[in-house]
Amino acid sequence: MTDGKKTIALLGQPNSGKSTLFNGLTGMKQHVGNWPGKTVEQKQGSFSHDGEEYVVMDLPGTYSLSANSDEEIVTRDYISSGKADVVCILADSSQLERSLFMLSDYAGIKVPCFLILNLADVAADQGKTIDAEKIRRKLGIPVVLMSATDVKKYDNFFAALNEAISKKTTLDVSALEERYSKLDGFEELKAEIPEDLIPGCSSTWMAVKTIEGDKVVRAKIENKLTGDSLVRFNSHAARFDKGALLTGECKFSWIDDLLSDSVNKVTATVKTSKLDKALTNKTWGKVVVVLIVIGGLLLSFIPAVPIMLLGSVFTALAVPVRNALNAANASPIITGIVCDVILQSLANIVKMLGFAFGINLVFGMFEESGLMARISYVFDNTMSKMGLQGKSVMPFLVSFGCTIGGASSSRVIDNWNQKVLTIALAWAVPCGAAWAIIPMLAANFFGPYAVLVIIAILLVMLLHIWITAKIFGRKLVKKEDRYGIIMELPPYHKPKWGAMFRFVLGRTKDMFFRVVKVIIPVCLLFWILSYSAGSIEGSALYKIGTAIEPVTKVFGMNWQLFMAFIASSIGKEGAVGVLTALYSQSGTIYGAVNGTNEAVANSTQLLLSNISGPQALAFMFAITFNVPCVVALAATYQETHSAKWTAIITGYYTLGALIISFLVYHIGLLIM
Amino acid sequence: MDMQALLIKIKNGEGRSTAMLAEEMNTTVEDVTRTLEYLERIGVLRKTELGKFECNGSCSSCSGCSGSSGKDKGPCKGCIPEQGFEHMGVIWEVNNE
Repeated sequence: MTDGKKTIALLGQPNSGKSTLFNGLTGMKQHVGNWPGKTVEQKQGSFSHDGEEYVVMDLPGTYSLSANSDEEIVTRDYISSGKADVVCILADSSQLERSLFMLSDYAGIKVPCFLILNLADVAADQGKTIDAEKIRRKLGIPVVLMSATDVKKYDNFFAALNEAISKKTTLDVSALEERYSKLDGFEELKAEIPEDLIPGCSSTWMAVKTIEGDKVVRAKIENKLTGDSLVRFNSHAARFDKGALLTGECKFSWIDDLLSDSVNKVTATVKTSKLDKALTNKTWGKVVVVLIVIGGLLLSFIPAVPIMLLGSVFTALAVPVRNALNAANASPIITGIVCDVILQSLANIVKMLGFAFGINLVFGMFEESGLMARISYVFDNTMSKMGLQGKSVMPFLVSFGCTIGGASSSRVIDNWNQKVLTIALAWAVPCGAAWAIIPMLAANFFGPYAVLVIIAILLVMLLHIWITAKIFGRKLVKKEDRYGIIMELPPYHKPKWGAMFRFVLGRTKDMFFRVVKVIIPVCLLFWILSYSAGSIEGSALYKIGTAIEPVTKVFGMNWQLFMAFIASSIGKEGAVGVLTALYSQSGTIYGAVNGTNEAVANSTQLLLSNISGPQALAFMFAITFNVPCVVALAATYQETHSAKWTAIITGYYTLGALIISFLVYHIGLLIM
Repeated sequence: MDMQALLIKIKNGEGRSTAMLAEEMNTTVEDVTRTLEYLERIGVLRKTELGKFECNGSCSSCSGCSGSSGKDKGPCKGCIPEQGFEHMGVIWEVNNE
């Protein structure tokens, strides 16, 4: 009691409506400060009712009365200080199974209390009917079902408040104590703790906190016990390993019993939906998910086609621009740079963006609808077998957009070995740049069979991840470190089209600026290196390329493709720039390679006439599974802080890409 | 719910959805969810909201993928949506620490 005023402490979990009730009671009569010695906000207010003055203390929102945080310590110290005449415990009526946990944790504290079942309107909307009277009979304290937002209907609250203060109502804990008493060793431990050793707290409450590993309570008990009593107390307490699991079970079981005949609700079906059953089926789930992904890839071609046609405009422009520059007697170098480098690069860039837009749109739809979470879930077991945490889903998913982002997002994984393994595997996921280039090249070389190429790349990706996990996982992750996860799958959603288009357009725009920054300079560099005023044999690149070609041909790549492969290590987009530069120079390399100086209208025809199907296939696989880009390499070092592992992963992927290229080329020779 | 049994299930390496776990343990999804939340509060499990993922804006090396770099510029917009992936669900896993 403060100056003749009664003090009410509001206690409840976050979002139980404490602050709403506090504001409803005190209006503008509030004072906000900090609890002494803590950075925890202290809210105090006052009101009068029926001639009585009250002080209200809004205690910090906490889930329990354990000493896990400053908020919890402040809360229980205040309650046990005896400053409050009554504690008003709030619970959220819409989720009583969870929010009554605070009440169960309060059981054993002797300060008078009453219970507010707040958010009654929300519970009613859920179809719940709550019998507050039945709950009151079981608890022995006033119980009020109300909505704190409706300030005109506080009559029952005031009645309960008066009753709790006048009758000093305390919680009937006999049913809960009966559960605790069944825990092996509980009664012996409780017997060693004198009642009120901590003011206002029963020996049951103190025994429960001791079992739960509450160091503050235990220290207080140990300070006050002496001799044999202390020895026996410590001996009994040591018998409880993971005691919080045992007391938690008791509390939840007590709550369920309390609600069993007091709350009627429309029981939500526990059965998994048919779609989820199909998606999460152990045998067929992966097949269904793979089919959905393939369907998504096919769908992504629909929005890609119109954008690709837009790219052809730049190709078509090259002829009139070249003619105009020739007519104006422009230098051949200027003509070459404008037509062969800039316009041709822009044509390729726009075509690439078409696929990037399509794939991002479809996968954005998967994510928005909740399907992506299920796809991740289906592959979680596989990931677990590879030694990865469930959280590795995210780096993989982000890697589909950008490997750099994938590597950075691995920082949520706290186990260093698992982090390195996750990054090593995320490199095998084709990034946005690969998804932009590969479909375009596949469509150019294989027409409608491009889809088969993409499916083959996806299958090789899975195989690559599996093999890489076997190789790296053996060294990095021990079997005992591997745990499963529980995943709360989100409900299915109708995609928010506006937000999704904004994200996809944003990502496409980012990609545009990125590829422009990479493709045009790389294209220009290789164009300059391959430029020769006279014979092609005079160019530096030709000399190097032809010297190494006997080796590169083993991997299915002529020297031009191999140069593009090297460029893809800087950035995958660079590969297209290099190909454009190496094959589009009329009168230089192109002429030398083909034995003619005939100018060819566009790079697609150039590529088709110079690269065989098996070579194209080998090249596409090689650049897809090559080092993602130099910045991804830097991001990997930044996250792993290990030059050794960054070098190992880089070497592994370079070698792996060449081996894959070799295999694909020779398989291609057999089937084409 | 038998929390020890639940932990054994999580530790066996198999991933489950909350609905599946509820079916397996013959209880409700609400019971599973509150138990998982409790285990998280006492430090036995760790919760990750995949939808709230951000790369912490620290991708100073990520100027290539986002077009924006530096610590104050937020997550890479080119990698993830500004609000993160909103419908990726929540996972609980055993806390090794």
